[in-house]
Amino acid sequence: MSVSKHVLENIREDLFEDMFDHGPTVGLDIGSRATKGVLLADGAATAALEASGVSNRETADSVLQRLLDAANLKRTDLACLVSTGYGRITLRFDDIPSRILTEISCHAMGAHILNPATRTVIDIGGQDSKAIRVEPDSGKVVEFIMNDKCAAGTGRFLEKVAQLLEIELDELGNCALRSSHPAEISSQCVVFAESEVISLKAGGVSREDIAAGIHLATARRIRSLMRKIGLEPTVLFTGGTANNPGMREALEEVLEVKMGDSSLDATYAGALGAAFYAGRFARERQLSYGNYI
Amino acid sequence: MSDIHNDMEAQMEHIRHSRDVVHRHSPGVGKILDLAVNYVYDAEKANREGREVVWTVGLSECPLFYACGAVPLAFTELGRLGSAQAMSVAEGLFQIPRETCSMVKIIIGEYFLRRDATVKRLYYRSGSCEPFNIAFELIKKYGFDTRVTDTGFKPDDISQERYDNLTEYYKRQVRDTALWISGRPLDEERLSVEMKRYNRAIRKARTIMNLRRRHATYIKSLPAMFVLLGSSHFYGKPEEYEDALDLIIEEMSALREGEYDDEVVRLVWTGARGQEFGVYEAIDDAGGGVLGWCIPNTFEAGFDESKPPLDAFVEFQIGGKNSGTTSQACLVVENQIKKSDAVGIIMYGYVGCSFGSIDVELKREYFRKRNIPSISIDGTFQVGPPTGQLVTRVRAFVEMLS
Repeated sequence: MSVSKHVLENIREDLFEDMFDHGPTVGLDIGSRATKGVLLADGAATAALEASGVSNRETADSVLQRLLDAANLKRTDLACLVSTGYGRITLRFDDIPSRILTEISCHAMGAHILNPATRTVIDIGGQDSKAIRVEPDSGKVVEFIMNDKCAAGTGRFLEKVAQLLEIELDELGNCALRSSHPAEISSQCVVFAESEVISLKAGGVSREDIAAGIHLATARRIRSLMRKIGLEPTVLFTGGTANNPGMREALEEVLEVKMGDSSLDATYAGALGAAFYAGRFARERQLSYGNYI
Repeated sequence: MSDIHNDMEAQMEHIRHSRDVVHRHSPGVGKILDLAVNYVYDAEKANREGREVVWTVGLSECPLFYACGAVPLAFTELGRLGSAQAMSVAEGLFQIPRETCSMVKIIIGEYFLRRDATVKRLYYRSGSCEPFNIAFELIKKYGFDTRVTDTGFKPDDISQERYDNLTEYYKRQVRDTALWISGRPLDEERLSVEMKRYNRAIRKARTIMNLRRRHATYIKSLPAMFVLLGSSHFYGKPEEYEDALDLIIEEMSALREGEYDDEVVRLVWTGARGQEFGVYEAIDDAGGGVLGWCIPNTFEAGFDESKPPLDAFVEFQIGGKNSGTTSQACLVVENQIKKSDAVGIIMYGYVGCSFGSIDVELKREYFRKRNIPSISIDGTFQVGPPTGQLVTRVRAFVEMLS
């Protein structure tokens, strides 16, 4: 549950031309584990994050209220709100002009804003992972691929392993960084990997080596996705696992590419992209109340 | 039965919403969707009242059934009406492996669940879907009178002698099937009448598809699919189906230039027809529209009326251009892309269809080389809404092209 304010730096002026003239906008990215929000107003981005509760509606309202409080605004001040993420379809705002967009479009645009050199986005979320190729001039999606058939290569996979290793999920990445001999994890399936981790534990393999092995296995899964669409630097790592240093290092090792820098915590890429699109919809007056377009 | 009705609600809701809300402006679309909703129930009722009804593939074999005085009831409709129990029956009772195509599993499971209430005659013209042959053998044990015939595809460079042998073989199969359906020899005159009706119906369906290209949002993607779905079996009511098509043509012909001509991301749909109706809605809601179709219901070609009826019937069956090799199917897709000015392709297959998944990859490669974006969707034949990820992928594809 955090709220922070950031001045948007190094952004493309042409992209944001008259963006803030139509009023404040909000992007809400309702993920399976966390709900992220970004409010854009007067050249600054206010960001908030909260664990996704049972009710997407309540969590979204709570995040929105935090953003508005931090910016000293009311709901009726908003020019437009765009919802994205897996929970987007459950939201409905009768008092705010609103739209929905997929997280794929929003992550691409968010990544483009966070680092205009971005050509490829790797987004590892709680329940799926995506590789997106981004059009460098516009931030639009050129091609994408989703791993949505099983939990392998997703945050859910890492979460399960953290439970098995009896450490907090937030610690899993740092734990992996302390490894000297990463364990070999051959299975990509969460169910089989669970047996493998238990066997490795029983065989005396250290927690650090197992954690590193799991991150590398996840990175190899992402590499398979990348083969479909191609990898072109700069690569930006977004999504719920973007702050996991072990995952970042594993991706860099397996993909043999350095991840690009982000001007704001890349966890917020989807919400930032959504807030940007909200500004565009407000400018083009493509607005609706209640029922989403 | 209560479970069956609860499960089907999700699918039916899509149809009702499309009919009563989205297409309130079109009585013709309303009639088509009414026909679709009532098809299975009315056919089963007619069968109970003594009418000959046979479950079939619901494609170009249908004129033969009408010519024999029987109503063809397409078993693909079971996906829409199926219950959640069907899958577990298929995997449990029939021991069909989990990895097998969901369409095959749902259909055999659903036949078992409906065995005391439904039509017990079943005809399958085996096209590319081999597992159905096995499934329909398994269901015989439960009192189904099942007939399976072969289908081949005419190679492009076939010799005349081989072609003659092939057609003679299929003619024998058609005659035997007519005997099986009605107990009487095939009446070729009547077959000719029904083939002409078929040709007339697909011409009308084609006219509607052409009108949609100028008035893209008058009929959205889901009912457009239902127009095509009925173009062979007519939902068991040929006159009513044709009347509905006439009405739609009349409505659309009266539209002014630019009316219902909102800008949409024009797409071609290829592969299976899909029972997850939420996918069609997701396309439309995201600003897309399926304006080109390469589904088993071919509407670009009909029977050759200049030839003797049985010759024309067999020639059409073995010369099917939608199926067959991937490269042949790609040409059909390309043709639809040109006609509809499409900018992307949706390739739909069923989970567990190993043939389909390889076919899709070959097609995607073909179109990737031609810079035409495509997306492949693994759908399920089971009732219920599509998964969130599936909808996300479809919407993202439309957003990418918009």
